[in-house]
Amino acid sequence: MAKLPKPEELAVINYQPPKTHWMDTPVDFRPGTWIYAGKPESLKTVGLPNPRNWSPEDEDWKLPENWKEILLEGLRDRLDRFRSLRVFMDICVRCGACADKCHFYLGSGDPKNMPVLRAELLRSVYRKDFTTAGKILGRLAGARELTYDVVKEWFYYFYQCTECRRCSVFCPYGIDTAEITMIGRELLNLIGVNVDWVVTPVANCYMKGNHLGIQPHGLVDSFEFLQENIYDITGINIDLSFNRKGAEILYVPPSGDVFADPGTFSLMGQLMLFHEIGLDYTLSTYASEGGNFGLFTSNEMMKRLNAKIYAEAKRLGVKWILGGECGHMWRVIHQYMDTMNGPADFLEVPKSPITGTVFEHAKSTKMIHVVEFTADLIKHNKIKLDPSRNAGLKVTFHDSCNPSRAMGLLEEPRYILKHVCDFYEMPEETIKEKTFCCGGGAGLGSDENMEMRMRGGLPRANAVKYVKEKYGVNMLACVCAIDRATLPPLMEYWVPGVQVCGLHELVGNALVMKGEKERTENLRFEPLGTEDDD
Amino acid sequence: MDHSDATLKDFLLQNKDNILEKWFKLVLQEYPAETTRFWGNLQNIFTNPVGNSFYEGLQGVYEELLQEKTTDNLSLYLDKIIRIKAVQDLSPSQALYFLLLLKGLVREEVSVGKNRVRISVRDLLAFETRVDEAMLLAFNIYMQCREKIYQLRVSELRKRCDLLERVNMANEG
Repeated sequence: MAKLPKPEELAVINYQPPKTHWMDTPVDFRPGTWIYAGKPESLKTVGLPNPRNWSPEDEDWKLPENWKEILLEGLRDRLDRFRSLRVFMDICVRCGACADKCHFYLGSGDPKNMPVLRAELLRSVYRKDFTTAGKILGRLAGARELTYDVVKEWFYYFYQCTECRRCSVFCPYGIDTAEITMIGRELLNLIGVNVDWVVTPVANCYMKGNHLGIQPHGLVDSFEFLQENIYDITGINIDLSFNRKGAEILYVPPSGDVFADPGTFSLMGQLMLFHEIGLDYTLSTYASEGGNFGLFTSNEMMKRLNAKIYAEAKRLGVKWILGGECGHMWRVIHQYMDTMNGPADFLEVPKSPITGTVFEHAKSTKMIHVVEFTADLIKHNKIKLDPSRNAGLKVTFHDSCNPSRAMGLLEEPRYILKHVCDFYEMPEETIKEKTFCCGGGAGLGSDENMEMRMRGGLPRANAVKYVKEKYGVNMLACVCAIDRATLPPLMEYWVPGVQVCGLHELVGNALVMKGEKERTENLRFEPLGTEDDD
Repeated sequence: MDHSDATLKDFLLQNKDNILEKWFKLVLQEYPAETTRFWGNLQNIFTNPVGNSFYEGLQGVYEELLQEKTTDNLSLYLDKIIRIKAVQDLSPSQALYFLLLLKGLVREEVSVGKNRVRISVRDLLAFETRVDEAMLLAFNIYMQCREKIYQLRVSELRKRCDLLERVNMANEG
């Protein structure tokens, strides 16, 4: 008679994941962990292939018949064109230094979120078709066939990477794992596999100049609304300038800040600052987007969208470009712009007209971050600040991934914060170049992906919780529009009671303006100095 | 084998570190092997938030279960574990199974090896009832977390609708 399990053995449920090899474990598309597919109209607008209605949940993704050939040819083409990709494919020794550095892995525990294994999803296919060892030895050499399930797996995991590059900081070989995700997404785009949260902003930006699709007259109206708010708070009517030829500076903020709170408050702070120092700047209604979701699509799309900013700078005849409080914009500007659309020889090296500081590091791109511009103003004592207007706020700073890791903007934001408010630093392992992502960057900030965002944002939230409990921190400042959109729900889930703001909101509150009326409200129209009571 | 008489509470207090360690290991074993290893290393609460939060939560729950009366702290400690599990790829039963693991573990600890002790059935049943009560509380917390996620989704959607409405209005002039 067969041995029957005892009742107590039956009661024990084994929750270990299936013991199948990672190559043989297909993806389960559970709601909350993936993002809706790109709308066909948006794909058509920018000429992306295979526009159709489909959903990641469907069994049939309606791929082109020769999808496999397209992907392999696409990979071959990119291996030939990008030496970096070939090196990244070959050089990894799987030491594991990156394994526990990814916020998605730290939160989910899913091994395929380890950067090394995420890269292995692509590398295994590379080995099979592009290396001799892989062709002969197959799985023994870590190679595998490109199948329909592999395509689904690529989609699932390449859209569970925010391209934040924390793992790259720890890689002894300097592999830029984000670039592997970028190539993965580029390949998927060749067969029409992408997400709407990226494709529609790209289409909007291409057609209308910004991710939200605000048309020129709409943009002017929106800025006028902020102008009115500034008047109500300060009694000062600031000047606005659009498409003005001959202005010294082209100012390009992220469009999210024009409409979405709390970004609007930060944008108001910047406009107030420019008014106060008498900056000769203009906004373009055609290149009205600092962000660039092309970065999350393909290098060609990134180049296309980035070119608009420089085309407008040329058309308007400005001397240099000032970028707003944006994050991934700076990955594009500092690491790709120069070889894509640069050098911007028709512009001058950015020089602050107020302090005379020349921003040598932007010699080629001719574009600087508003935070470095403001820090320089404070350093030279050019503005008057009253930090008591931010009384009641205990502020900590979230280093946004790209400004910190892609451009080294580490000290400037802290320098500003120390001059405008009560500032508390988060633990060393979670800030500056080791900063943890908000969990919603690189086009992952959609609502249907909320569960995944909460997972990915856990390490960041955990550090905020620590400073909240230790110092009573109640405000999380940042310099990225995506952060300002994704951090508020993250805080609400993990650390209720902590609000989110842009850095220039605090500057705007503290800024003492010539001729202003006595301020009774902060930029959120809340009574001054009473945030503690909230 | 030596037997000794003791109350279950004394036994659980004396063997706290040992049982807690085993419970923590069992909870981590629900995850893939590599993850069990990473999360088991408790050196840094910032680079391993899940492992540390689980350990802190389990420790607190264990201590609370030994109190005469349940306090509000039990919810706080359960929250440390459940808030995380509620956003992981787990079914509700998988997310809350960690509490049941303690029942099995305690039964085993009192009945095997050199720790073997004579405890009353009444004591054991009373302890298990406490665990069951904690399970009910855990269920509430799990649901609160899931509801919060959906609430956040709805409020994001609403914000997006407002935003699009404003963009459309602005575009229409």
